[in-house]
Parts: sequence; C-alpha cells; structure tokens
Amino acid sequence: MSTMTGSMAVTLGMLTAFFALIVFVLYATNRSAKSFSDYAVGGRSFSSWYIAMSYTNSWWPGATYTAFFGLSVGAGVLGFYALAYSLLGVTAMYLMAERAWLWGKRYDLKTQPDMLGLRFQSQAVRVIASAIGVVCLFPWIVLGMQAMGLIFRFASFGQWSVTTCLVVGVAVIAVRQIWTVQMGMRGLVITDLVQGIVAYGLAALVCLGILFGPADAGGFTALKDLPDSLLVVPGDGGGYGPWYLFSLIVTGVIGSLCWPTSYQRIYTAKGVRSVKKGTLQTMLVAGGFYLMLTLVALAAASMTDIAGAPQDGWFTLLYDRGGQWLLGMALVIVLAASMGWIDGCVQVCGAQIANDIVHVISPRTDFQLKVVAKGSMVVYMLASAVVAYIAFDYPRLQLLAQMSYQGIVQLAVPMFLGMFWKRGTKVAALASMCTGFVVAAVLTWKYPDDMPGLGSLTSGVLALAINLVVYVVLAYLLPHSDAERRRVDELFEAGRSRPEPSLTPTP
Amino acid sequence: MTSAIRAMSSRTKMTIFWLLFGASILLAVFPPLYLAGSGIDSPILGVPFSVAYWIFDALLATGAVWLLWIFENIRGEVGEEPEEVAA
Repeated sequence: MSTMTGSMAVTLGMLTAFFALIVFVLYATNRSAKSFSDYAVGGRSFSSWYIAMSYTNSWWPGATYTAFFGLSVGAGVLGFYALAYSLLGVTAMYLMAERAWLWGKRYDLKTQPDMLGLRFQSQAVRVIASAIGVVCLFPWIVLGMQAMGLIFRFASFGQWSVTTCLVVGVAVIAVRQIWTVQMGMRGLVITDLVQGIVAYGLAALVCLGILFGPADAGGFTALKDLPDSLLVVPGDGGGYGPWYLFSLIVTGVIGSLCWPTSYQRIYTAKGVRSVKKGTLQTMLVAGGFYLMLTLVALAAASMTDIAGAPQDGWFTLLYDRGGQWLLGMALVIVLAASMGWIDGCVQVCGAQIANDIVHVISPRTDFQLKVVAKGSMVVYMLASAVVAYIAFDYPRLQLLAQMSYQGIVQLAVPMFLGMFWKRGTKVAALASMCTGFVVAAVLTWKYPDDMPGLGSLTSGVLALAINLVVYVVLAYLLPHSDAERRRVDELFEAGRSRPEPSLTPTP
Repeated sequence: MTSAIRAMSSRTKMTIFWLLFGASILLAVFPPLYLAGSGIDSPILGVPFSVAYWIFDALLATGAVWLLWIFENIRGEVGEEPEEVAA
C-alpha cells in the first residue's frame, strides 16, 4: 500500500463512471411495479442468464477479493473449499427447481419463509424463518459496508484516513440503495447482470491475463513450484482435526440455499427451465471465476508484498501488473461485487420483513406492503451503516458473522425435508429450527471456530444434526392429522411440472 | 444414443447423476479422500496434484449437473411451467 502512487482522479474517476453506468441502466430499464409481487420478485419474468448473474451476485461478496483471496494466499488449497461448496450447493437449486418454482407461481410466494409457511401451514414457522434470515444477514451487510471502506483506502492511495474511507464507502452504498428501495427486484436483477459481467466476467479475464500473460512471477508457471505448506488441507497435520474441512464444506453446501438471497432467485425466474438452465450457468460463472481467482492467488502467494498483506493481494497484484489503471479496474470489480451483494441482502430483508413478519402480524394491502418493504430497507440499511461505522475495529463482529452462518443453516432441515418428505409437521419444523438455532448460537459463542474434542467439527454441523433428529422424531411422534395429510398430498401434487388436468387438451 | 437416453428409466437417469455427483460430494467431504489428496506436489497438467484434486472435483460436480440437463432435455423432462405447455 505504501508503495502505491497514482492519481486519485483516475481511480475515483473509474469508480464514479461505473456507478453512473449502473444508475443509467436502472433508469433505462425502469418500470413501475404493479403489485407487491412485481416489486418483490420482478414479476417472475427473468431468463436464465439473469438468474445466473443474480445468484452469483448474491453469492460472492466483495470480500471474495479480499478475505477469500487472502485465505488462498495464506492457506493455499484450503481456498478451494469455497469452490467445492459453491458448486455442490447450487446444484440444490437444480434439484428443487420444479417444486419450488411451481409452488411460487401457483401460490404467489415471494420469499423463502413464504414457502415454509405454505408447506407447514404455519404463520409461526414463517415468522421465525424470516427472523432467522434477517438477523443472520445483518452482520454480513455490516462487513460488506466495511469492505467498501477498503475500496476507498486503495482508491485514495492511502491518503484518506480510515474514517474518511469508511464514511465515503458507506455513503456510496447508501446512495445506491435509493434505487434498490425505489425499484425493487426488477432493477436489482437487471443491474446484477451488468455488475456480474464486470465483477466476475471481467475479473476472470484479468485472472487469465495474469496467469497466461507475460509475467515473471504470479503466472501459471509459478503454480508448479508451490511450497508444501500451501498444498496441505487442515487436518493433514497442524492444529485442526480431520473433520474441520468436512464441516466447512457441509456448512457451505447446506447454507447455499438457506440464505434468503439465494432462494429468492428461484422466484424471479420465468419458469422451471430458466431456473435449471440458470443453475448450470451459475456453475460456469461462479465456479469458473472463483477457480481463476484462486489459481491467481496461489500463483502470487510467493510475492513478498502479497505474502506480507494477503487480504490486500488483489489490489497489490493488479497495481503491480498495470499501475493505477489496472488498480482502478480492480477497484471497480470489487465495487461491482460489493454493490450487487449488498443490494441483494437489503432487498430480500425488506421483502421478508414486509411479507413474512408485518403482513403476518397485521395483513396489509399490496400498496402498504411496498411501503413497509421500502421503509424496512431504509431502516435496515441505515442501522447497518451506523453499526459498520461504530464497530469498524470490533473483532467480535467477525464472530457474529461466523455465528450467523452456523445459524442460517438451521433453516435447512424444515426447508429441504419439507420439500421432499411429506411427513414433516409444523411442530417438528418449529422445534427443529429453534433448537438448532439456539444450540448453534450457544456452541458458536463457546467454540467460534471448531470443537477440538470432536475432531474439529464445527458447532453449526453438530447443531444441524440435533436439528435433524428433533425434526424426524417429532414427525413420527406427532404425525399429521388426516386433513393435513390430504393438504400436503395436494401440495406435493401441485409441485409437479406436468400439465395440470384442466390444461390438458381433451380428445 | 438419443434413443437410448429416451428409453432409459427415470431411476437409471438419476442413478447415473448421483454416481457422478455423489463422487464429487465424497471427494469434497469424506476426510480419508481429501486427506489422501493433500500435500502432493506431483504435477498434473502443470499444477500440483493437490490443486488438480479440487479442480477435478469442481469439474465432476459441474459435469454431473450438465449431463442431467442434457438427459432431461432429450427426454423432455426439463419441466416447463404449465402455462407455457398449454400455450
């Protein structure tokens, strides 16, 4: 950082130009939402590429270029765990596409808790699932806003104070939310496409250029000389047990569709085909991009200035390759990823607060729901901006973020088993979610990383196992009534993609 | 080939998918496998085996879903929404 010099007019100019492009796209494609459904899920009208880019935007935050890049630089092949869990996890979208989308269309579902409420015919399940999602996303939005500060630290070549960078970063993302709040999901998905092309498409090209371009260090050839310390995974010696990597990947795989941002992408698609094709495209975009980024990080790990500050490695490397102009591009790429990710979080939280908490407690009209959703987004975003500023150097915030990951996966049992196993009941869903979340929270507080006595299993995985046992045992001990069983049978029938009898031409 | 894919049972189709996808899951989460792939520097196409291990796992997962997509397209099982079928 201290060795970087250049003109702020270049770096800030590039960031401003990209921001202006996004605002232009928003206005050029703007259509006023006719209903809350239109506002929350964009009228269920988007084709597969939009779904893929939107999912990828809601999956890789700006921290991918800082924390994950730094992880690969420092811990080597461990960085690939995120590649594995992302690809394995997104496949769940393919497998559940038919039932999830058809239920969404036929019952006008807008959010993940909406689906849970339908499946278990329980408003309590819906409210608790919504609350878990909103609470678990909060620390991540705070961290995302703080990452925005890092962008301006590099854009100012270290000349602005930390406070100034953070205030400017938070202000930029706050201003961006004006359009997120105003235009809802439609504007978000369309800008996700533009942001995705820059954040992942351009980044992948840059990575390919670094790997196979004229480089003396940090190129593809450097990969064959990686030190042994970068080739071992946790559990193969070191302080972690054999189950640590298992826990990281399992939590990631299961969490991938538990995050409300990910699940809601299914409802924005115009059909089952778009969801399935979008899944494949997500695998190519999200997987291909992250693979390139990780290979670049590994290849650059031996460079002295990057090894010294791994989390700054993306910026350092691109400055090293192309001076202020390539640094500017690195900053634009991270800004694009950060904006897309935070937008998705803020939008889905607003939709869930309105649709699954306020509307359940006190039913509202479509117009009122849009107002509540917009108001919730403003409050949620301002609260996270304030916390981002206050807690800038607060180390426990990272712990809260970790805890939130262990917490969000507790939605998995009622969600996945609820979709594919008819026997689960609302009592089982409520008890399993609540038990899992509380156990995960308590254990994560005590063991924020791993549990050495259990082979480095993480708290979230243990809580998930307890969650599963509670669900299955209660499903058998307190089974459905006859009426509820018939309702669930009809619901599962409505989740099949064959033409409905009424639509089948009669001979 | 196309007719064979059309003729195969749904169970066979999903068995093929789960064999490939299940293998990629095992490579990622089964400790004896990922620990066996750890710390090996023998080169595979220019990268150490331990790096190639995770790239192969990613390709296997993607390939499994891709194959399922191709099968379902050929068999007409992708699953359009009823409105589009009716139209």
